[in-house]
Amino acid sequence: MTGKDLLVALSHVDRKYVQEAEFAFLQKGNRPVRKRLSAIALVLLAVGAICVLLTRLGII
Amino acid sequence: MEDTAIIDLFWDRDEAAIRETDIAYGKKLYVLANRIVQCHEEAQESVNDTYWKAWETIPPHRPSDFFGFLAKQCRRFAMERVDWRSTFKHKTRAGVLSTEMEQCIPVQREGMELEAPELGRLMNRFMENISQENRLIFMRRYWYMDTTAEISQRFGLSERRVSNKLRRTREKLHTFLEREGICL
Repeated sequence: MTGKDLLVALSHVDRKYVQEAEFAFLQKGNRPVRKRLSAIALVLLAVGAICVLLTRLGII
Repeated sequence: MEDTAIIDLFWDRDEAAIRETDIAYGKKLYVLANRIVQCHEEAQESVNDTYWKAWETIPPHRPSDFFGFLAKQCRRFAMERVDWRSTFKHKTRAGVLSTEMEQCIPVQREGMELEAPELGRLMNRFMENISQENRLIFMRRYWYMDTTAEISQRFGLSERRVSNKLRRTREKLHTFLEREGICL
């Protein structure tokens, strides 16, 4: 048997795996680094804004 | 047009079925075939063969997943059209992937050789036993023949991480085939 045979044999795998891989795209927890960084930046910005607000109000 | 409506056209023996299939999935099938054969004419021929096969088998067949059905046929036709000798010589994508897959086959003195359908069934069992993420990456690489760059973009992972995951899955496949008594 060769690697080619194995590659050809993959054509016979169940269609559910073909379908699963076809529609797999940026699933939850697999977001691109850029998007994850923007989410972190947004959270930090929100925390910063709350801190500024609390300081202005004299609470902290 | 919805898949069920296209399948109904096939059942009605309406030639518009081919046109609608081409509109819905022609481009995707061409991309898949072209990744394998890396030749415009051969890829187009593989897609045409796929339509012919669909026309021949629907009816009586009614595929529950129409694209999966077409893609499977298209991949099979494209694989038959690969000139493996030149593939290894020119290091095309199919050649590179075949070399990678070669690493999964255990070298044993005694072992059995299986035909593609039986080997396919064995691969199904292997797929069941790996994590979904590893399975998706493995399928994208060796079924859809994506590059590691394309996979990393699709799943938001670094190329290095994709390569490592693929390497580990290949090692698992090697162990699995060894246990099943498959040899080089």
